[in-house]
Amino acid sequence: MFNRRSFFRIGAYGVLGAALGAGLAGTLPGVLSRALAAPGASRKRFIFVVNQGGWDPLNVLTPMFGSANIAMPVASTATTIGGLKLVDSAQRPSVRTFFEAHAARTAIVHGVAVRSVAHDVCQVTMMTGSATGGGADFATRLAEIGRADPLPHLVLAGPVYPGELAPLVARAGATGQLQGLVDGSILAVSDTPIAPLKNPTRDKVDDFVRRRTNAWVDAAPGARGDLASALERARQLEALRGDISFAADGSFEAQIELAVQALGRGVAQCVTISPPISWDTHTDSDNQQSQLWEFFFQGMNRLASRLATTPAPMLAGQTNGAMLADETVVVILSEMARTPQLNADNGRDHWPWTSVMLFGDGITGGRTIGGYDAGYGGLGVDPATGETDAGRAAPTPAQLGATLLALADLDPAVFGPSVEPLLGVLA
Amino acid sequence: MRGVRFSVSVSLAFLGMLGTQSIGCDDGAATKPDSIGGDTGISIESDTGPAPGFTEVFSPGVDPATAPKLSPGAVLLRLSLDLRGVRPTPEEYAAVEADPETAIATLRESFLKDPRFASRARDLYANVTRTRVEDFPISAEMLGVDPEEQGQLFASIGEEPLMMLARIVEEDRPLTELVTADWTMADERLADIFPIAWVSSAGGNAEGWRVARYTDGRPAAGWLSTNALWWRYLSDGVNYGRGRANAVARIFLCADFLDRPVDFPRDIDLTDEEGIREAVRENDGCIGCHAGLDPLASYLAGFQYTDKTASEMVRYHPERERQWVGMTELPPAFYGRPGFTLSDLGRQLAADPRFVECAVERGFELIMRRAPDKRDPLVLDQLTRVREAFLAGKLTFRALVRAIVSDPRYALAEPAEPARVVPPEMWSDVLQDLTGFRFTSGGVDLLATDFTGLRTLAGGGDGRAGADPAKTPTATMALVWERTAEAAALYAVENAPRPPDKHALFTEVAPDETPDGPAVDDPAMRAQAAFLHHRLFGTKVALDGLEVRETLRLWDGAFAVEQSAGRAWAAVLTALLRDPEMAFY
Repeated sequence: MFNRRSFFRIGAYGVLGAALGAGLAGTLPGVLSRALAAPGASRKRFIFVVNQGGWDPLNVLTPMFGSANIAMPVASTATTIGGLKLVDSAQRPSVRTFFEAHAARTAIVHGVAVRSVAHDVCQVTMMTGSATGGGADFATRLAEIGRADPLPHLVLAGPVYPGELAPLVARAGATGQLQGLVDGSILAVSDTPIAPLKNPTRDKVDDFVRRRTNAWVDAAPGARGDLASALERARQLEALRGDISFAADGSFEAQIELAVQALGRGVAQCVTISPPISWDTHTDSDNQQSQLWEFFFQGMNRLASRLATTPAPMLAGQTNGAMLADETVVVILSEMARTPQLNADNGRDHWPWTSVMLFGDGITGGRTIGGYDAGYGGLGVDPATGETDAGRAAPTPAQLGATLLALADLDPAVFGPSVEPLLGVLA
Repeated sequence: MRGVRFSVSVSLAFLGMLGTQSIGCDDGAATKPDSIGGDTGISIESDTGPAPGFTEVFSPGVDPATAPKLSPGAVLLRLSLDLRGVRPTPEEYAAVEADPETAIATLRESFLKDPRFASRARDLYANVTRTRVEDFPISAEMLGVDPEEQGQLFASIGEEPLMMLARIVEEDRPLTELVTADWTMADERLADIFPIAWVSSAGGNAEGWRVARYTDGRPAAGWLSTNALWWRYLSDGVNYGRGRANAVARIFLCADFLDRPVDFPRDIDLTDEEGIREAVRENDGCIGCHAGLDPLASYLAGFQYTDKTASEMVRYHPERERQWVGMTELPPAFYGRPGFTLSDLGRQLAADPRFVECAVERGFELIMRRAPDKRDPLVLDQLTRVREAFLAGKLTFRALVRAIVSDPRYALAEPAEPARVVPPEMWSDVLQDLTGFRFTSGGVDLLATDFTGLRTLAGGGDGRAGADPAKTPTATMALVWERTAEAAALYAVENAPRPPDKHALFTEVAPDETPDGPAVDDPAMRAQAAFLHHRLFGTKVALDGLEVRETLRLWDGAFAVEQSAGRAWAAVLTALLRDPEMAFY
């Protein structure tokens, strides 16, 4: 594990490892203070799985059989597993495998109104709660509880909207560039051959930079502390270079493995991954989607397995035998869904209500929130109970964000006073 | 029409969907979100809170007259980086030290006329066009280009509108040419795939780009006529170009339809094409947006592609200009004013007062790195001054930027104006200017690319996701600075020009020259260390001062490890390039 000794001067809102070392946990914002005041206490971790292109829940999550307006995929049947009503197919055995094992820890939110059919608009809406951005995405907000980690929100693939919380976010790069930065091997790809400095020399350079940086921060404390935090995190990452590899080939399997490693070693609080597939099936949709869902759930089974067998990191070197599965929430979403009817090319176009799946710690298992009407529009939901309510609006992405923040004991009001968390999702 | 409605404030509801389907939204200016419900008798509480991440609190703005100000040297640094993308020279620092007011005014004008000013404009506007992406919807192979060259080809495509801006900036053409120009810019890669002809046989700019014209009958409308813009903002046929129309409104008018509150009528059967067509035209909840958006989209029908093949996508399709009849069903018009072709749209945009307002506010945001707070009367006064200068300057980008960087607010210090972080494109230019090094791999600047490069890791904007450049440093930015500084320093020691070249970094000693004793005891070494501080930071440090002693202590330590004077200097230069004063300004 890396040494949490602070190398660069940081503020109370900087890297919390330093705050802990200085006995400052009591001065931290509420949830952070609670999380850090009790050594050994667990903190909830998150993996966001972003499916880009617009998936079709009719293949798995939304058994809308019997509606004249909805053309269900062929070779599919309705089924119920662990209380969840699903779509079953022999072509997608991994789906059944997953739910048979994890339905008790899985909830599905139906009818989430993304309110657009443009990929980029839907994407930013689904991840931030706002069509025009302006705030950090949910994963980055959740990463605030891991400010002490070197990479509070590690993005292995997929979009990220860090907003004002950019210091908490680190991308790994599509081809594993982060590893090249951490171990210095990035210099090897230069067109101009570079013979790097020796590590003892680099240490001397680091020391020189540290002293200059601390003096610079002292000259105008406040915002300048962000630089000290960034440098401290960079240094912690370099200290990890023999312990974890950020090199990834972009495959879903590699992303899953790195995500689990990053959480398991306390490097990150949140990780965003994205399967390297496109769900945007405007032609031959049902056939393509079936294969995509099978591929995706193969990955989910792998992820669930790795979470169940990987010990959770503990603060202050303590252990209690918890596994990552005991502390991690997996948020599975796509920016939109697909039309209930096939187009002329047997494809399905974009649809503005979609479903979201959550599984893991703190989630009400076997629970379905919301639903769809006969026209495949999202039904209103009472946020307090999770029951459908015709007098209310369909769930929104902002409500999803508020729910996740509530789950992490963060303030959901950042999304506005009228955005109510879907408490029915929470165990 | 009866039905249940709900209100959303975060998104323009279905701006086109499902074949001919479309959705409803309302005119935000007229909508009070909690008063909706139409004739349904059902009113559902809307999201009336502030946008996520924002708190509706306004505190009195900073008064430039009383706020802390940057030193003249810091103003010079800010001007030099913002306008040229490189740090000032020692001579420029000396001039400012001798006569701050006169020198800054003179140098500001000089920087505005610097050839690199246009390049800076391109970098700034790349976050507006969002065309610097690496996943255009067509492959190099489909375009008949070697797949190995796809990265460079896509870089050229994304640069088409930005190079047009560069010409407009360089030649002091009005910014309205962004929507009226009857020419484009192309390099040889684009010339090989686009239906264009060179305007003249003249040699082109320093990067090999030349003025060209499309030859496929597309109307002349500046950026609106470029393949690059519409390959970035693709219409897949299901939304009839409404997403593109919103891009037009956002880019040129700073008027994003997605900012508007939306009423979405729940009684529309979205699987019924006719029902949706009717709703878009007649439903109160739909008309507000669609009445403005759809006619804008109709202008773009000639850029509708039937499939994603090269023959389909490289060409404009004049024969499809009237296909709006079967799509949006509304003839082309600009907020109520009819037109026929893209050229009409360009002229209408150029004549709209919002075009100038948008250019001014965007200029402020790009240069100041934050949106203007228009609740602040002092900021409003500044915007007014900038607008007047922009108009008086015949709408040139130079006049616009001159007004912004001449304003007292530009020269404010922390905390009134937070220090700006150097973006990756600028960092690349700074390193090359100081050391001659550019971090390329396979000829591609790694700080300007994402797939294999470091742009977003270094804090650059994400053109595809639409995420803005970082305003605060991150761990990966720190790592990028660290690694690139080391590479640049090592390169400089080996390759930097020697005196009398004015770019020489080692003016007092040869980098491979080893002193007889401790470096700190050697006058020439002290002079060299002091020169590096002056060259990089513009500060004159005492030959026997702390900075020089610390610098040479690092030299001695590095020499003990590396056993090479050159590599010891590389260590020193690495450390100085990683200084906070290099990353912030």
